[in-house]
Amino acid sequence: MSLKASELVRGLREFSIIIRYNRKSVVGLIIIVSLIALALIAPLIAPYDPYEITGAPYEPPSSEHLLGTDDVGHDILSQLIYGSRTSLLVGFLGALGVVAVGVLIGLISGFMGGIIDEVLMRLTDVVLVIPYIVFIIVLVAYLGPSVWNIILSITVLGWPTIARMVRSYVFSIKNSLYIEAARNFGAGSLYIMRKHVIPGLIPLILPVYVLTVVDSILTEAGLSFLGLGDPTKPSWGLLLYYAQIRGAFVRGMWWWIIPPGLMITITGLGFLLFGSSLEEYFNPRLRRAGTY
Amino acid sequence: MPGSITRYIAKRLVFLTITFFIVITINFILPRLMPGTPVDYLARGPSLTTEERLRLIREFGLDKSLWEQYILYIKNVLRGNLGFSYKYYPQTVMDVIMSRMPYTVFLLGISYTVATIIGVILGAYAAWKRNTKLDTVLVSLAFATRSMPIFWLGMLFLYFFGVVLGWFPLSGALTPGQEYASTFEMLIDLLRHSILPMTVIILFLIGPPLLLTRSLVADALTEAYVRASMAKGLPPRMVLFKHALRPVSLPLSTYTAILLGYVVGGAVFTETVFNWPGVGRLIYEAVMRRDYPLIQGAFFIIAVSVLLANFIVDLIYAYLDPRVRLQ
Repeated sequence: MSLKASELVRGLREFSIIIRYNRKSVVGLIIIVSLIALALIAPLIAPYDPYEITGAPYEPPSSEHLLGTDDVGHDILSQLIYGSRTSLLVGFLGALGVVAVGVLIGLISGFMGGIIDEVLMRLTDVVLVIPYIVFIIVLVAYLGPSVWNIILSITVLGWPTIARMVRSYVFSIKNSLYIEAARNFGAGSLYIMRKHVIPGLIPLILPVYVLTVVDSILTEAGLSFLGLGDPTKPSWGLLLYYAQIRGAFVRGMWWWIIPPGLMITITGLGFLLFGSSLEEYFNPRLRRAGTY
Repeated sequence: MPGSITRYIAKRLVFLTITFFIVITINFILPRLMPGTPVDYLARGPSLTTEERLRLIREFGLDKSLWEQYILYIKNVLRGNLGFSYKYYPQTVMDVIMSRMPYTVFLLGISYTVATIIGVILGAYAAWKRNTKLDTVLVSLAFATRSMPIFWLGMLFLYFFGVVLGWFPLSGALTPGQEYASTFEMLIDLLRHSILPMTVIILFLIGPPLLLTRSLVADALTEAYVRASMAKGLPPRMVLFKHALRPVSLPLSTYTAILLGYVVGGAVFTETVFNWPGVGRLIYEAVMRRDYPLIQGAFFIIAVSVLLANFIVDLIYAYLDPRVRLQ
């Protein structure tokens, strides 16, 4: 499918409306863009290799180590900067997996109906009712702590709400007149899917995707904090895990405790603000009811 | 009609049973999907003697066919036999979990109730004062706690109120080695230990009910019956809490049930930070030691507890909502 220039222009115009319409989205977007930039140029601005011993253990902040060093002598600031890579990677890919599986199951359930729909929806109920965090801890404990296993586990467990949403969307349009008209003109299922269903899904899915990024980032941080993070990749959750178990508290090392959590919170807030303003833009009813 | 409510309950029961078996099946399959033999995961406690190891292998039929193992596994689980913990050997997984359960129920029961009540009241106020400063502050609070890792919030609390100010004990539920003159004294000690973790969980849980109540009440406030009760001259507080909040109570109760899983997640992190001797902290300990029987056991017990809680909520829901009863 080639993107026509006019469509591109229209997309850009819509985008600029979102930005102008809502100051929240600007703040969110600025946070997101700066973080992506930070992740991309991490090797350029990080003062040290995050996992190289560049100082004595437990050094307080100094001009050489702005946020001090950890129990081994790794530079904390460098770990913090590199940590943005892990968070964003898991955030973007985890959410992508969740949305992909959710949309797929929602579409199948909605269009097939009948017994397939029934089975898939009961499966959705089951996954929803099993406590997410505990389930994902068990999965990663077995799969082994790696970034890819975390992304995989997020994908496997995170899809149900999106599947439900997509399914009810499909139900709402399945029997509508314009779909029937298209069918009567001889349009095939794939054509209808591409021309009518998917375009209608995008405003529904886009905000959910952005909001799911928040959940994925928090999940990764949480798993890492419990010692299930990828030990080879610095991450904010991992920093907090080491701070917790290697005695940052008794040493009063607030510079080891505060920055990583602050980064997670700011990142989460950025995606949350952007996602919820997208939601308001695509769903004007929210604006009136003032959900956010 | 009594018939439809029976059918409703039966439906929920079937769902409960199926999910129960799915959880068991997940526990059965996971160790068998991974490289190595299930014996490695389930019967490899470092402190296990060869004899005990063989006994476990026999008990769970780990040398038999997969199908026989499955049947045996279900039988064992139904009898409450979840195997031995590596770490706490010779205690069984069931004993370890049950000894921790009261602490988690205490911590979560109180914080969950308080958070829901405060969240609903604040949400209703926010809707009432929509687009004022109070509203903005409350919504920002909900947003901030939504994007904040709960364990970090816990660490901050622990650091400031525990380490810096020294107001509260740093870990555990009771002072170790303390002799109590009375139950009351023990309760005071327990309370002193639980204030920080409870506050953290409450802050973590306030957001969702707050936002939901806010949007539901905001909708309700535009309804004619609310305007009518205002025109009648009822005091605003009465309009808000007696009239605008009432139709909201049903969606809220289903929603808070959905939140149960989320609540449990919060417990795992908060208990870990505050070294609270509950089931959540137990999961962390089990993960640290790669104590697989304990991880699985905790997962099983927690999942079943949430399942049962959901079932009870379903029953209450059927009782409250005539549409479910009379369908």
